[in-house]
This record gives sequence, structure tokens and C-alpha cells, in this order.
Amino acid sequence: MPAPVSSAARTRALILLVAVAAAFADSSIVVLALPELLGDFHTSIEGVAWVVTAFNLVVAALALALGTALGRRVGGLTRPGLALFLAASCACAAAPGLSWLVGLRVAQGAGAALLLAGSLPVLAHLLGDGRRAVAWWALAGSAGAALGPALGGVLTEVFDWRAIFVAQVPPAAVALLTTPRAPAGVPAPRGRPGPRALAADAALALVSGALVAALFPAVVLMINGWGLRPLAAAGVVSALPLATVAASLIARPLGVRRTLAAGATLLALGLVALALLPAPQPALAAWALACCGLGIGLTVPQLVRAGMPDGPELATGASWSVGVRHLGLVVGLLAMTPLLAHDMGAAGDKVRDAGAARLLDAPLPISAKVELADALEQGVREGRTTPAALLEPLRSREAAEPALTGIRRSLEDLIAAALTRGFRRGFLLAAGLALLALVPILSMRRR
Amino acid sequence: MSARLAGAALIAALLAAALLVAVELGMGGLGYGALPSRDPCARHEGFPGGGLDATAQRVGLRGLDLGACRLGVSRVSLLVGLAGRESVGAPPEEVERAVREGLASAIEEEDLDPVSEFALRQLVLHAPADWALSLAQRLGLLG
Repeated sequence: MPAPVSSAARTRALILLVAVAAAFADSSIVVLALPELLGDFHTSIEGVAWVVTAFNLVVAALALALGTALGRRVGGLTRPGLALFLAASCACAAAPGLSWLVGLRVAQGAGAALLLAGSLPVLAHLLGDGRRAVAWWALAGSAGAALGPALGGVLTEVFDWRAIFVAQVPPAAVALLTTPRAPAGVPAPRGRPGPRALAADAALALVSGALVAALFPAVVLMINGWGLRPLAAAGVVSALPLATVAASLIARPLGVRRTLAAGATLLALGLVALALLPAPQPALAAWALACCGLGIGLTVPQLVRAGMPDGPELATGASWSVGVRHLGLVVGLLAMTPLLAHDMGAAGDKVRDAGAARLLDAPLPISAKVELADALEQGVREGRTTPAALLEPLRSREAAEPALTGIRRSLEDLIAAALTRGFRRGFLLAAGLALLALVPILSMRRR
Repeated sequence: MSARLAGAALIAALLAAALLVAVELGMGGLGYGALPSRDPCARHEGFPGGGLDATAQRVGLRGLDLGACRLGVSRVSLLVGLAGRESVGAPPEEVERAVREGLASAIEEEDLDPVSEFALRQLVLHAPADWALSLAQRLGLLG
């Protein structure tokens, strides 16, 4: 029976868990700000994707290396990790350009890797029970990753993208002040790493890859394709974390393998639904994201737990879990980004052709068409990325030329339709990753 | 939550996800966003209206269609090529001939008196392109 825990230790554990959730959220929190970064830094989808990829790549590489090299001593890195994460978050908020931001995200990722890998032994010490620590740590991870995009969207809408990094400072600072030094020995389930743990880690990597490949394009689609404000997009995306939390109620009484298989299937179905959206309807997107959220909630915490207790040390298990999870995110991003960039380019060409055809046939004098074509082309050159910004030349002339209202609406529909389809292969790729996770899940033997 | 209730909730969630996919397929999700390419060789409704601007647009757009049809490209690709932004994939002389012949055919389709029709046909077939453009600008057609 676990020893009773003092309220002071519980509070410190809770503060550390909030910092852990923030570090896990960092994998995806910038996603809703990507369209703003795309405009602010006049860059490409590939360029802006590095803001997310660089962070996850460093977390994956460092966590895997630390787990292998340091084993249980990794717990001593929690406080240095918090300090680095705190300093890098402050610096990210003041980044003057994209290359600076990517470089500082590397530093932030290094801090997050130390914090995430080291926090589990410290939590186990504070809570006096390794299994309870694993459960809370896994929940903080799922909640953080799922809440990240919605939180990022709200901060971007109310302030701007820099607020995302400012918001991470308080939890990291408070945790740095209250987290104790790493204990010499911590209660940890022992054992040899078995095939079950390896299968769980492989499935965790694939599910994480599918998650980021769902979030990244879903957000860009809603903001850049459908013209939703970041706050409205955050409202739609919040279906995902809400469903993730709801999934924990379902998962508890069911068997692990059945829950995991159902979770991966739900995630894949949600992603297929995103690929088949028949119109720019936020309600359908929210429904699909809720299915994804249920899938994440049914799989990620269970996979973290399944991969952990069989490990030789709690600390090593945590490092591996963080490593494979972020490795999956990186694989998802690296597979998704070129596909997305190619399909967006193709969709852009189709929009240009179809849009020009509609403008040519519009009931307007030739001189008005020539003037509008020039204005629209200038918008493209200036890097206007949302339909509203791109079609502003039409909107501004609507008072003088009422026929433009219908043309603008028809062009907005056209852009939304072409871009919605342009994201299809990306969502299907993510669905493929989720389905692939069924292979290691079904190979997991009963404990 | 009991295991039985949790199992029922899980099945309900899977059914809701499958239902969503079915609903989307029923709403035409598979074909959504596939912008149909406009066939320049097909007969489309002409630009409506009378007067110089509408007639010029009707002839110009139909002429572009017929020229694009001869070259095997879309009307917009031909227009972008003529603006010098992208290659149409054919030698410039061939592109010019296709556009001139397309415009001449479009003039024939208009209900014009024989003299005007002959004069306009000769104009689009033989007049230097720069001169024709400056004439269009002088007439206020290009703003």
C-alpha cells in the first residue's frame, strides 16, 4: 500500500505536472499560430513547419540519448531542464526572425527533454508511488498535447503568437522554485524491457505521428482555407482535448488491448472523416476531431503505462516514452510537410485557373477585370494567406460594383473547396499511421 | 463507470465515427473540391449584353477558347502565356496564329454586317499585336 503523501508534496507534484503538461503541449501549441507566423515571416509551409519540427526533433533525440546514457540519474536533470525551458521560452517570445525562432525552439526542446525525462522519478518520489506517478505523468502528457493547439489559438487571437511563449514562463518558473532536487533512489517497478514495452513504444510513436499530422493540417485548413479566426478555430479544435478527457472515463474499466485497438481505429476514422469533409463546416470538423480525441485518449495514456512498468528503471522508461513519442511527432511532420506543400501548390494552381475563369466570365467591364486581376496578383505577391485578405480588393470595390459580392463569395467557396481537398492526402497519411499502430497493438501480449 | 457501460460507450463511439464518414460520403465528400476543368473546345454560353464592351468581351473570350482548343491548353493557361508569365508549351508563332484564328472564328459567330465582319477579321488576322492593344486601350477597353 502506498505511503500517505503530505499536502505539500502533493502541491509540489501538481505544480511539476503543470510544467510537464506545458512542455508536452509545446509539441503542438504553436500549430494554431503557424498561419500568423507564415504571414509575419513571409515564409513557406516547409519553413514555418520547422518551428514545430525542430522542437520535437531535439526532444526526441535528447530524451532517447539521456535515457540510454544516464538511466535513473536522469532525475537530476529536472531542475536544469526547467531553467533552460524557462529561459528559452522567454527568448522565443522575443525572437526577431524565423531562423532565430527555430534556433531558440531547439534550446527550448533541449530544456523540455531534460524536464520531461527527469520529471517522472521526481514525481514518483513526491507521490511515494511509481505507478501513481506514471498515471499522472501520462495524463499530463495527453492533456498537454491535446490542449496545446486550442490554448495556442486563444493566445494568438487575443494577443499574438509571442504570447504563446510568454504563457509558458509562469508554470516553468513556479515549478523551478518548488521542485526538489532529485532523490538518490526512487520507488520504481523493475523488470527487463520486453516485447510488450517495445510494441507499446512503437504504437505510441505511430499514434503521436498521426496526432500531429491531424492537428497541423486541420488548423491550417480552418484558418487559411476556410478563413476562420484563430479563436474560432481553437473552439473547433478544442473538441479534441475534451474528447481526450472523456475517453479516460471509458478506458478505465476495459481491457488494455481492446481499448488500444478501438482507440487507434477511432483515430483513423476521425482522420478519414477529416479527409472527406464535404464542405467548410466547422461542426463536421469538430465531430471528426472529437473522434481523433477519443482515439488519443484511449491510446496514449495506456501505451505510456504499457511501455513503462516493464522497463528496467522508471527514469529510463520515461526517457524512452518521451523519446519515441516525439520521434513519432517528427516522423509525422516530416512525412506531412512536403506532401502538404506539394498539394497546396497544386491546389493553388487550380484555384488560380478556376478563379481566373470566373473573373473572366464575370459580368463586369474589361477595364474592371484588368484592375481586379492586377490587385489580386499583388495580394498573392505580398503573401496574403487567408481568403479574406486575398479577396480584399473585391470587397473594397463592392459598394461601387454590387456584382462583385457574388463573385467574391463564389471565389471564397472555390478557395475553400480546393484547399479542403488539398489537405486530403495529408489526413489519409495520418490515418495510415493510426492504422499502422494496430500492428504493434495487436502483437502486445497480455501481461 | 462499469465495464459493460464502458464497452457500450466504446461501441457507440466507433459507430458515431463510422456514421460521420458515411454522412460525409452521402454529402458528396469524395468529389468535393475537385474543380472541373473548363473544356475550351466545348460550346459555352457567350458573354451577355450588347455595346462595344460586351461585344469585345464576347469575341475576346470566345476567341481565347478557340485558340486554347487549337493549342490543347486551358483558356487561363493561354491568357497567362500571352501575358508572358508562363510558357504555353508551343512556339510563340504557333500561339499567335492560334489566337488570331480563334478571334477570327469568334467574329464570324457574331451577328455583324458583312463589311464590319470582313474588316474586323482582317484586323485580328493581320494587324500587329502592339497596335491592336493600343487601339483597345484608346477605346477604353483595357482601362
